[in-house]
Amino acid sequence: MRTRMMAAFLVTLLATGIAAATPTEPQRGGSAVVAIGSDPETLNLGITTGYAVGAVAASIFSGLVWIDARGEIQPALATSWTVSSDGLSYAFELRRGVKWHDGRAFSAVDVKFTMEQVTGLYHGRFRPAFQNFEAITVTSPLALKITLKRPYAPLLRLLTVFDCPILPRHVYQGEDITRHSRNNDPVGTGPFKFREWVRGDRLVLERNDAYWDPVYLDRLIFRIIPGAALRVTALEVGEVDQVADFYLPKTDVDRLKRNPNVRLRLGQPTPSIGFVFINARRAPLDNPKVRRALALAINRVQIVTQAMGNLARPARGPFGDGFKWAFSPESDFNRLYPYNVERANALLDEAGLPRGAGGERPVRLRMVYDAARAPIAASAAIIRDNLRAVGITVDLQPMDRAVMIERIYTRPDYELTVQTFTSGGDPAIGYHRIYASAAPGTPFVNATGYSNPEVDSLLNRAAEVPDRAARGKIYAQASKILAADLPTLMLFDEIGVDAARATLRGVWIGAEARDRWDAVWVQK
Amino acid sequence: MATVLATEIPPAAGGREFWRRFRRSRAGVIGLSLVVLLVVVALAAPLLAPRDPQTTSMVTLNPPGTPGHPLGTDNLGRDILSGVLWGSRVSLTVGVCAAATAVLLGVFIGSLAGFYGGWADAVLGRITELFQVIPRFVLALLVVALFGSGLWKLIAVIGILSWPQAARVVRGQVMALRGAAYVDAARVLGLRNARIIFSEILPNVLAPVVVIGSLDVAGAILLEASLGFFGLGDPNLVSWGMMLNNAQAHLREAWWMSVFPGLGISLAVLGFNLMGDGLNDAANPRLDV
Repeated sequence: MRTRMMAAFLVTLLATGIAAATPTEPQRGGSAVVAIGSDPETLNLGITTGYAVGAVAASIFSGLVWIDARGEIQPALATSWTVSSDGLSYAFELRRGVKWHDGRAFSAVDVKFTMEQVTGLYHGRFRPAFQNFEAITVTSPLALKITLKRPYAPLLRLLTVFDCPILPRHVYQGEDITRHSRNNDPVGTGPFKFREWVRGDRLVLERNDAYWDPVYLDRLIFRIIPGAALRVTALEVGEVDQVADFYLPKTDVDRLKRNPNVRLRLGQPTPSIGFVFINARRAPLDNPKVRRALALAINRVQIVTQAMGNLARPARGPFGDGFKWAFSPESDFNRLYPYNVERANALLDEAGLPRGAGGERPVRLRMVYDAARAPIAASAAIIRDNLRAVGITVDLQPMDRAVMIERIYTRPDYELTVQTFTSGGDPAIGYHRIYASAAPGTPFVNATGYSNPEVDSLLNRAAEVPDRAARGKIYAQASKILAADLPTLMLFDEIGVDAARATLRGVWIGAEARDRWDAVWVQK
Repeated sequence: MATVLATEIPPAAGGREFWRRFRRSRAGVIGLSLVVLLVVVALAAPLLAPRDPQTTSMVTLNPPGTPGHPLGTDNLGRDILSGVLWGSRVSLTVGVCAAATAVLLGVFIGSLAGFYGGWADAVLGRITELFQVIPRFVLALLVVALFGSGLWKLIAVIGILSWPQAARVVRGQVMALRGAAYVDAARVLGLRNARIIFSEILPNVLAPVVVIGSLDVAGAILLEASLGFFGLGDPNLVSWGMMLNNAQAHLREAWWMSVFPGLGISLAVLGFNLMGDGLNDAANPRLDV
């Protein structure tokens, strides 16, 4: 008893000692080094969705809102907003006293200019949403109103710095925006100002003292390291302080987990999913029974452990389970389609595809995929073996990404393909395209030929209704149909991994590892 | 490679004499043993392999010595020993077929250039040189990346990229022989050119061609493995190169994934190279000091 008390005392002493030695108050000063894989194409984040551009420019510009680590929308350049009850009109109040890096005052005119002249025309994700805009009205120097043609529930999520960074009108107005000289030396309202760009080596930003929240780092440096393995080594030896999920090779995660000098953030606040498109235009895949048999025959747990190194969860529904409110327990794949070879065999027999003399069924499927992505190749190899066990022959056809896109989306000339899509923060932004009717020709939309008017109208409604509980019910209805029709086989919900040195504090308060570097400080 | 002169071998030397000289070359005998071993393993793979090399299991990354998996398992739980045994089939098929393609092409082009000379030689000579200056591996990478990587496509690509050496040697030999007295005699007898080339000249060029063929097999095996290593092999087959490609990501935690297929490639390439040396020695008694 006494020893136990003594131990408890010692532990407490130790704990307080550690607490005293580690300041929990942010300290000002120092610099942080972030690894990126390539030179950004530009620093004008309003005209591109390029990942490296966002990594750097998200600290130079600001959006109207930002998304926190729990996935909630938080105020940035807009301090508050109200949405009309019909969901057609959004009124924003903007932050007072915000200055551009060149000293000029920020106002609502900059927001209107950016949406109408820059992001609405050139930004890959904002442009489609902008086509639904009726008008943008500046109601006062620090207030504006957006009216829509049709309600669009995820609109606010498209107002972050990554989808609609606000650009200075006084710099860009009347000039060629995509080729403007300030695209390489940008003027923003963000926590850091542009200082220096040594191509192929580094980009240096310095603190913006006029930013509305405290900024701790003197400098934020981006090191360009093209080799994935070298980025991890640089993090391990302390040459680099952070490597975001996008740039982190997943095979190194296990080793990083054991490194006391490295801290990881597991779990992706922006859900994304991996799945198999089944080309339903081709027999026998036009038969839902055959598609259900595939779902039963493919071992999702094996794919998650072996191909994804456990950095994923086996998919549980037609929209995964990344959005809890959109997940319907009624259509849970764990119940509907557990790994079950006997049931798969029975369904295939029922579908009129009996095994021949050699145990093989008269089904030969071509699996087309991007050769450059190791986890996808491993998933394809597992699926091939899983389907062989039920008598289906799969012919693996890895190919160059551009050729793959042409084979899947343009022509479509394939039977199965493994793809991964990001949700973009809302199922309506990233997941509807998997199921909504689509003519061949557009990359990264429904490539299965599946077209169901009922599903289309449910998805349209789910995008328009603002209330989450109501949207959840619509997704449950859609899930029920999709889980029965199964035009696409969900495989896994990805779990992202961001890695940073343990001395880097205040990181990852945003959903995006690239966001909110004003809050980051270095432990001395 | 030493220049080989077919005229050194009297046409009547015969197989027995050749075999006697070959046996004297230690390298040749070792090489031949390795090649025979490879052929036996490839033929008997279904009998020797403990399980299907492509069957995955949840027994992930188990080290050698695991019950049922003497050489361990890979990241998808596939048996390494079975993979190495079955992989020999792909290596041998690609090696032999691609080398045969290369030799046939090389003999055809080389004998035309050597026999006719003049502008035919000039044109074919430039084409041969063109193929020789193109970096073989880079071109193979490009072709396979563009047109995909089935087994027969690999064989065709490797074969088409490997013929110049045979062509050059055959051209030189044919050129030396076309003025020989017995060729003139054949002409006087009124034999057609094709007949002269194939029946009279080529049999005397055979020895160096066999040597080059053996070395070409080694080169083709290595090229196939390299393409596989870069992920450009046929993923529907088990090959040593693809096994290595798969092993890259697990180099730090699973050495057995790379060592055993690597050993397979080394032994196969060594075998054909040594055998080629032995054949060369046997074909060139002059070098036998």
